[in-house]
Amino acid sequence: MPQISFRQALNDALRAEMRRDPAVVIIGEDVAGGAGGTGVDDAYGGIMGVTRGLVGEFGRERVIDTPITESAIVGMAAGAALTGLRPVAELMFVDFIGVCLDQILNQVAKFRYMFGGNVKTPLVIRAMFGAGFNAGAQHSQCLYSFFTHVPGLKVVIPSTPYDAKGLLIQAIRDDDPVVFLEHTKLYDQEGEVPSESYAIPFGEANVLRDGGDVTIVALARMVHVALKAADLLASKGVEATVIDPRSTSPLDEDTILDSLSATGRLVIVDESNPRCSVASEIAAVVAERAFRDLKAPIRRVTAPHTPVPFSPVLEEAYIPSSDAVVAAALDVMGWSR
Amino acid sequence: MMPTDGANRVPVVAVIMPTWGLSMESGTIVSWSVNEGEKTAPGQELVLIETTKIVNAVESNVPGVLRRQLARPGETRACGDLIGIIADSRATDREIDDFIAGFARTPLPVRDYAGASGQRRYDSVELPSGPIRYQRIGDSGPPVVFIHGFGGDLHTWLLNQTEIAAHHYTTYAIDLPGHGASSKTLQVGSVAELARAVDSLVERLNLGCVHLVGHSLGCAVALVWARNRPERAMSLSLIAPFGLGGRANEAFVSAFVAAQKARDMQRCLALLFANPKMVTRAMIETVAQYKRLDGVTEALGKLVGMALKDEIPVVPETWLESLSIPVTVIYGAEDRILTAPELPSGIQVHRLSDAGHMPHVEQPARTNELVLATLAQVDRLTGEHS
Repeated sequence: MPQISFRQALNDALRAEMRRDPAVVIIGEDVAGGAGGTGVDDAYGGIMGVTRGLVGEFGRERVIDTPITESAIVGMAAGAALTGLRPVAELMFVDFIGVCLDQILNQVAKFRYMFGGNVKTPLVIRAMFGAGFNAGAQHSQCLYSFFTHVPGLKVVIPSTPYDAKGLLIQAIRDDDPVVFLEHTKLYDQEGEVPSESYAIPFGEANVLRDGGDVTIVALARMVHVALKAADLLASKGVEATVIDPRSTSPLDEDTILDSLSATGRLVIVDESNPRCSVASEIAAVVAERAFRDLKAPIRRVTAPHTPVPFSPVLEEAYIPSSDAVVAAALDVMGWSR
Repeated sequence: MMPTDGANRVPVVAVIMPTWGLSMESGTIVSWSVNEGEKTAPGQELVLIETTKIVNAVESNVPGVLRRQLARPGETRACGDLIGIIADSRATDREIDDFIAGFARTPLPVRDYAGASGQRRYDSVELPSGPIRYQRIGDSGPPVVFIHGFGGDLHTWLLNQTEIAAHHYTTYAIDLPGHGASSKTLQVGSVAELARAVDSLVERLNLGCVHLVGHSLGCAVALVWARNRPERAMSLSLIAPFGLGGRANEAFVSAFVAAQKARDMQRCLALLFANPKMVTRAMIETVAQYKRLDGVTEALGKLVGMALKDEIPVVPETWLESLSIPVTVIYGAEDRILTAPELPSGIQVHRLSDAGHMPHVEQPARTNELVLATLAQVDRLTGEHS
């Protein structure tokens, strides 16, 4: 199987779906090469280079550069989806989603419901998120709990190149609006990805490691932090299961509960701020549905309830570390009841 | 494992991380079945090893005492690395320490596969219906074609293909249409269609006469091909064969097609083995990844509707009775997918204990022995293979 980057896996998914289905179009800032500019088409491919090469193959009718205005990008994509296209809108940073929140929250997410199931809204909103780039408080947030909270949206957060391709293909084929979030620090990560097309269903967690002592649930970049923590724990004789839910809406509760029934101990790692977070939601589900299985309190390892610091030193301290995950796991191992 | 040179007085034998198949680079110790200081005999299970695809046992091939375990459960070692020492009780600790120190400096023994230098890993032939992938191992000796079963791929022969090739056969494990990395497009999904793909591959690669080794549905394919090409089939080794009698377990088939979540897949795959612990996370993920590929759901649906509903036996019994080539049937005593067929008396039937529907995976050494014996019967007749 070819070894490719997370970025290339996303590019492969977009290219394959655009070839398969002429209704798929891409809308975003600099996704072609700079609207109206004299620069070379395809040289840029969006801020992270994910759409590089697509305008050359599919033309400017299907790879559409926009002005710097998120409300126009999402508004255009929402209308296009209603008329039968399958737009993939790219927002540079998820942090900017505030200016188009009404269109997502009150329009896109509600169409199917309010029109009695008579319309489909096959729209994907891709956006970069996450800390670790010293990009400051307005370019580093994890806002997935916002979208997870809203009925009518599907929320997908890949952690590996394999998942990135299969989940993006599924997102494009899905008839509902999907918020597809890509962690800034994962674009260069490499992994084995089939050259054929494949779709990973939403609501199906990935179990990356099996261990009988403690269950660690993590998303996106935190999956890799959790895996490193699991290695450190193994050297201390503690075997951890590591679960990546891959989508937070729908959420694969069963896989988490299955694991809990064996381990009885849960640590949730979430780069997001802790209040009303996905970590809180998972903790609530487990407390409600698996209280009898729990041998120790549920521990959340999250960022603090502060903006993301600009100072590299503070930012490093802000992001959950493998050491913090190990400490939380050892803490829950110390309980008995 | 290899005995040390010229060590007549005290044989010290290295237990090394085995290489099962070409893609295996390392393995992880699951557990030791023999404690340090305990006696071990040839054929006895020494240690369980987990690879990215499978859990399997390394067996002792000499009598002696397991003197050292050099890797603990959970630890990973590269193929060819020293993981244990067998010696008789007279060997001193010093001698064993020297052996271990010397082993690190000795170039690792490389398994002598026939024509290893010329072998290719994967290749494919383009048919009008799309590509058919195969893996060739070995460059000399008569051709042996391995055909996997429903929902499988060429990697099912991980523990068999290299071993057969090492006995000087040119081996080809193929991905049937609808499977592995072959085209996922099936016309109708019949056994005859699959057999035509095998025929095209044999033609394209100019293999002439071939030995066939099939598993499950792959046996039906092998039988139909052999009936269509009586002058080409040299022998048939049929492992847990579908197509001779009995229907496939419908609950398994529908669960396999329907399963999306890992836990459903795990329950389903466990039915394939006598020991459900053979189903590893990596195996589940491999099957899940296959099932997510575009076209696979449709292909499996067609196979369920056609190939698995084919008239049984897939070849006339009279033809089977009149066969003059060696035919060996191997099945697991605990097969939960297919019931053992009633067969004409001329066919050699071997029932392997501690095996379910996957005897070639669960009892690879015994299965390989039986397949090699089947191949050798032809060599004795034709004298073409030294």
